[in-house]
Amino acid sequence: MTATRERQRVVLPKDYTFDLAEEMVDRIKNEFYPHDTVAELAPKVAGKAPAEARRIAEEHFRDYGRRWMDRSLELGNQYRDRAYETLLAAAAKTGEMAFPFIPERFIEIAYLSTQPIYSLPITENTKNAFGYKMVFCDTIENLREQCGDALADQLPCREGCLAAAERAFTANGFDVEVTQDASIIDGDFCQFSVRRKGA
Amino acid sequence: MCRMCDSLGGGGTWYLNPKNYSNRMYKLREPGKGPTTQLGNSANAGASENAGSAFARAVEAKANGELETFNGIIAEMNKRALMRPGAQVVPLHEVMDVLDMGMPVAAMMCICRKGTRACEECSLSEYSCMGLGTGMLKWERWPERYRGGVEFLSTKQAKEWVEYWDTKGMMHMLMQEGGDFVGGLCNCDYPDCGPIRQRIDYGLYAQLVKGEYVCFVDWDKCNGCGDCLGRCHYNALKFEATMEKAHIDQFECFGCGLCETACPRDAISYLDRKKIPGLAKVW
Amino acid sequence: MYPVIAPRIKIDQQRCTTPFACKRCLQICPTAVFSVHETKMVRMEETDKHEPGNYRLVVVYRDKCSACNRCVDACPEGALTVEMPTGGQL
Repeated sequence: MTATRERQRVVLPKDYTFDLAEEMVDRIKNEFYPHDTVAELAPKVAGKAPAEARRIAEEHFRDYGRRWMDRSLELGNQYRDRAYETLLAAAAKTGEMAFPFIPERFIEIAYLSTQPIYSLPITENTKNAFGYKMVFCDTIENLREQCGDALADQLPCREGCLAAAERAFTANGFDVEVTQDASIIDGDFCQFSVRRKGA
Repeated sequence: MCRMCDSLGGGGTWYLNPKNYSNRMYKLREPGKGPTTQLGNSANAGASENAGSAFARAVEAKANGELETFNGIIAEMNKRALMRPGAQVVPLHEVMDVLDMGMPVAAMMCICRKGTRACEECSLSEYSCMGLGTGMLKWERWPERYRGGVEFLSTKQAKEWVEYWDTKGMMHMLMQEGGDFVGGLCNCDYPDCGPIRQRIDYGLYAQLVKGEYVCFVDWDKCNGCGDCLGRCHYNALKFEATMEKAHIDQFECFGCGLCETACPRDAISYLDRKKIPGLAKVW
Repeated sequence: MYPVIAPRIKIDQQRCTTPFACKRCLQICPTAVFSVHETKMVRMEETDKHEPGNYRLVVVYRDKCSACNRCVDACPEGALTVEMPTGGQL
């Protein structure tokens, strides 16, 4: 049975913050607002044949997805929070936790900064797999409004999500395969899965 | 356990489904909402014991000899909690499967024992509780809830740690605290564990649901050595002196498997509760 | 189950002020009837167990009390009394 223990009482610095920095969120939002990237795309696809429009849109979103994640990685490392520090320390100690939690953090930063959500629904975050859902997506809404249903129904923006998710993992040294498991065109949400290769 | 298997398990055992351990790391503050200044009830094991709670009224009635009142309150509590279990017993071999999923696992002090025995555990060999999931990355927000600190473990360390407690005679349970998310893995014993006690002393079934298995003694293999005796927290395991064999009451057994892990002759095995007609609904 | 009237345990909260630091009754009780709860939980810090009033001793499982009086003897503050209710015949 534990005896009375005399040890220093834990009192942590009051300035510890466990939330994402608002300034970081605003900076990413301003640079990667879905409305603006779709506005850039719209003139490029205007009047194009459907297949060509789709090809252009997919390329546009792939590029957007990579830049969006690169910026999230850059700013996410610049604006740290205590949860991230704890994760880094735990990953260093256990040698295991980097996958999927370090990339997960940047994926959450990217989506929370730019989409109309307060939290990102995670469907799996285990040793070899990671997955998440996008239920309320501004990108697809803007695509419909600015480029029309014909292009929107092709869901070219999936390339942005796939590229961003892959980037979050490869930039942290993980070889992964990213797939889309559900589409907001056929159902109520998009869902993406990341699986560690060779696992 | 229909809801558990059908909606959470996806057809299989619900606690082996990785979805039930998934959680986000961050949440943006909704406009007008400040930081959390109070811990939710689910994180405060003592909340259900507070004066004025249904449980406190039930105990008071029992202590005053008013059994009808006691039974009424307990029945009402059971009805409310039926579809929202607090915890379930899980045998060691399946705890290992759970730990293989690799979500952040952090050993910490037992909040029940902090209350019932005023214990202040602050090292890995004392911690008997484990927090699961990304929420553990923010434990420092509430050092009093995690008094004595936490220790993040690798899968291998976590498995060794659970085996250590199994050897010491602590049974294992997964905590969902009424939600769809498994937030903890406890190693527990009577009487300091809240859920065990609320179930076996007061009949609060949903606080601790029996395991998916029932333990069975093969009398051809059991030589009556008695190594398993004393490990059962549920009064299910006895020594049948005239037969010189261990005896398990299938209706009392919670399927925790502490007897099985102690048996040097593999005389005890796990039967699937759902496949035994008379036990399939005994949770 | 048949009806039994359990003893009444009184805690003098004026005397029992730092139960989490003291722990004697909590650790000596054969049936573990007590529980100790923090009265305040503050962000970023542990509650000070030596500051009077920060923890409160409560009787959670009164039905389990046998009136063995070990807690009464163990209490350094004389804060506990255990009595069988009068007229407790059922």
